[in-house]
Amino acid sequence: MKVDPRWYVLSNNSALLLLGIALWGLQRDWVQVAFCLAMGSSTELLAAFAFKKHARVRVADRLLSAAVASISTVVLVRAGEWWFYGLLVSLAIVSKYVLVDAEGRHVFNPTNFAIVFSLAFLPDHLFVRPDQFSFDQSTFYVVLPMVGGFGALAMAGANRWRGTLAYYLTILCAGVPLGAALGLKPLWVLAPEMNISTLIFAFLMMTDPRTTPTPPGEQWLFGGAVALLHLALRYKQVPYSPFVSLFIITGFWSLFRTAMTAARSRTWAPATAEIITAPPDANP
Amino acid sequence: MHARALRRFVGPATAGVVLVAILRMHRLDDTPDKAFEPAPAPEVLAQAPFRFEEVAAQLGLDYRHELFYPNAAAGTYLPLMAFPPAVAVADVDGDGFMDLYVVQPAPGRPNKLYRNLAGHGFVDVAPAKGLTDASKLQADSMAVWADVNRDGALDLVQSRFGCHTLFLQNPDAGTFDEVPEAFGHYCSNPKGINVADFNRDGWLDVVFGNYYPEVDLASYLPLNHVFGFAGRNYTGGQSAVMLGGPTGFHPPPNKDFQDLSRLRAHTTTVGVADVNGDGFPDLFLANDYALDTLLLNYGGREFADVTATAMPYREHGFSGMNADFADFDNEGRLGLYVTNMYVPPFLTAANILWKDRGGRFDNVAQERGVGRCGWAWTAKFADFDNDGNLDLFVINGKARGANVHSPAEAQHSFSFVRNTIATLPPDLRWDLSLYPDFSNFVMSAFERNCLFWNRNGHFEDVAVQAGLGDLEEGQAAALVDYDNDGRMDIVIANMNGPLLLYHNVTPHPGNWVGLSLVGAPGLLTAFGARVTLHRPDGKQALRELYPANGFRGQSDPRIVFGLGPLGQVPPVEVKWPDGRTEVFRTLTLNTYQRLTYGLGEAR
Repeated sequence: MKVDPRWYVLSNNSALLLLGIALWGLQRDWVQVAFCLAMGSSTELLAAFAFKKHARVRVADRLLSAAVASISTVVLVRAGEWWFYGLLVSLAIVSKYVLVDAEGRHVFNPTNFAIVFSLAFLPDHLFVRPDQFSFDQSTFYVVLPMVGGFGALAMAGANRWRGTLAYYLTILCAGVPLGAALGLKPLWVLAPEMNISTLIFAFLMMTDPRTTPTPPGEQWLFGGAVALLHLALRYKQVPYSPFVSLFIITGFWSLFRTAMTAARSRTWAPATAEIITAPPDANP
Repeated sequence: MHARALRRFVGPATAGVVLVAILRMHRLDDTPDKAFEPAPAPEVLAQAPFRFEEVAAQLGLDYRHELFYPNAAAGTYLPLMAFPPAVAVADVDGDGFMDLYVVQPAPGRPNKLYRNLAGHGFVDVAPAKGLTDASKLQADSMAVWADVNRDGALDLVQSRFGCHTLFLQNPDAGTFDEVPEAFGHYCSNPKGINVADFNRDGWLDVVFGNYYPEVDLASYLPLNHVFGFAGRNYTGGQSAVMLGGPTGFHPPPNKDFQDLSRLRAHTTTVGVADVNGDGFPDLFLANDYALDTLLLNYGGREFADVTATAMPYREHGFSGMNADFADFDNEGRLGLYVTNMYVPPFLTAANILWKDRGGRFDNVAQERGVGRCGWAWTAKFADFDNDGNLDLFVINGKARGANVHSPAEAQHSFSFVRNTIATLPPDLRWDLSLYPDFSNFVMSAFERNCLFWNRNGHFEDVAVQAGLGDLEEGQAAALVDYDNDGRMDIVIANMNGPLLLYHNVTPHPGNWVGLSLVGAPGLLTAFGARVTLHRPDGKQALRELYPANGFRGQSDPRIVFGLGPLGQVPPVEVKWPDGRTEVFRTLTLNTYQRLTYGLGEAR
């Protein structure tokens, strides 16, 4: 039986959230989580209705998408105010409906949108500081296989492993020599790619089938481009640099696809119909 | 039609979103100005009453803090790891003017005792008095003045990053003799200490807010917290109480009373106040990397941790630095100000102003306008213009690399690098050779102070207008009225910088009354006395005498009430530490006067 990859994402991030709050002092509270889930779910249903897409996908599917976006946002973003996550996830879900490409696919992964939006517009409320998932050896080595395991399942389920592999190969083949040229040891370049946040990014967000290319060749290119831009952003000390890189690359990728589609339609055919039986749409 | 319209829209919209997001990224530099509350309106700034002049060098205060950490492996990260300075104010020689003691942590380097020359200057008398402590083998931590042996002369409790000591003053000669065995060879690594009579036996006790674990710091690097992160980080020290007595200090017989918390937090400050009004001093531990802790003292036998029920978990900053209790609304109830670090987006743990709602505290910092003041350390409440409302002064700033002497010389903020280090797999995090050299970096450096003017309960930051806009890395501060004019001055000990003395020259201050509390026989300073001024408007202004609250600064032990335009001093009620309550009437306006135990009108 094929399992919807979103379940892997939800399982992984829910486990992190529960264990984090219960055991590792992760500074989120249940008010924030509950409000975020409530806002995410209601926004998803309302937006589907408002954009006349409510009949095409089951309510349960929509709620699963909302839960994935909500929990992922709570795990990956840190803020103090109780309302913050609710507002953020609502905006992220609305972005799914407003920012869509010519094929009806949303441009940005909702959680990625939430992270970049909060960095760009709400930095005074953010706490861009590492969270508690790698506090000590034992914690780290509990979390690492968990994220890796769920990530592998999600990658395989969504058939997006090439992008992730390209990302890490580019870091290895381009980042290490570039770092050496700057006087940085290879470990300094590579080690941040092994932290929990980056693993969630590479295994569970870059593999979102709705916002990343499907053709194998494009997946390789896409992953490499994300990695290269991330390296540049990291050099410029931009926080959440992999996430910002993904945001920018997916944006341009979408523009490129839209332009290509428009060119093709001018040449050969009328407007492309919207895809209504798309693969699952809401990795973190 | 719909799809076609959408296609026309999606390109520009996507491009716009990406472009705007990229352009907004410049806001992510952690520049100091973003760290503070929004600037007050021009008309508010124009009305700000305060004026300060920096006079340290002019008055002979030549102390300069030197960076020191006992493990040379700290390397270029020394500015991030070095021990901060400390300052303690008291009238050591009893001449009616406040003297200043400033701690130089480094072994072999002398501490300073600046004798106050009647408000006209200072001279270092530490060598003559035997107080340089230059022969210390372990770094000095904090110092508190208190008459611990009840002989009528102030003694000095000197904590160390190691084994603590006591300097007893000879009442006749005015010189000091070290009594290294005074604490029974108790050793720990506190950043903050405080003094109170926790079991109400008449002898002052000392509480140690232990930051580092009980190890020899010469072979320890604080990587776990400097490059770690907040949460259930209980790898610090275990704070403890040592009870005073006629033969020195000793651990309480009850182990539960000695070890304040089972959790080994990185405690930066120990605030003392009678939070529940039962007459026994309670404790607030401001902790780094973990929840702060509120401990109620039940009958001098047990400390109970009531944090979970009294202070909402979500509000804790996990970077607690300061603990200053004050009745900032003049309602006869003590609130608490805890500093944290607000340097968005890397650190947005705002300062906390806890308001007591009868056993449960609400954080009102944001609504009152005192939540943001950079990477903040000491904060002290005082009525700087004597209008009857307590204002709030906050100092801040963390560290600058060895090659950085101005903001322009800073290559980058170290916050990004620090975050990267903190996310490394634990095995790799301890290898300093992996990290970039800190010499050209800054970490929340060059931040200006905050002076929050209390305008009927809402605070406005008017530091720059008041003349308090220096960019030093201020860490320890104390209040002192060094010229006895009733206007509270401020002394600041900066990290790797000079001592600053800000003389309060506020024009047209309100009337005031200054009170020097002399406790029961043998208690020169009545630590824990609660003084209530019954104002004609029906409000009750409460002050409690714990001058070492704050962060590494013991303030002027005299209590000053600003009276605004009042032409006479309202009655003052004093609840002494032993529970006796007296009322003092017919006090004189605009002078300091002594209130002595037993000489008031008993109630």
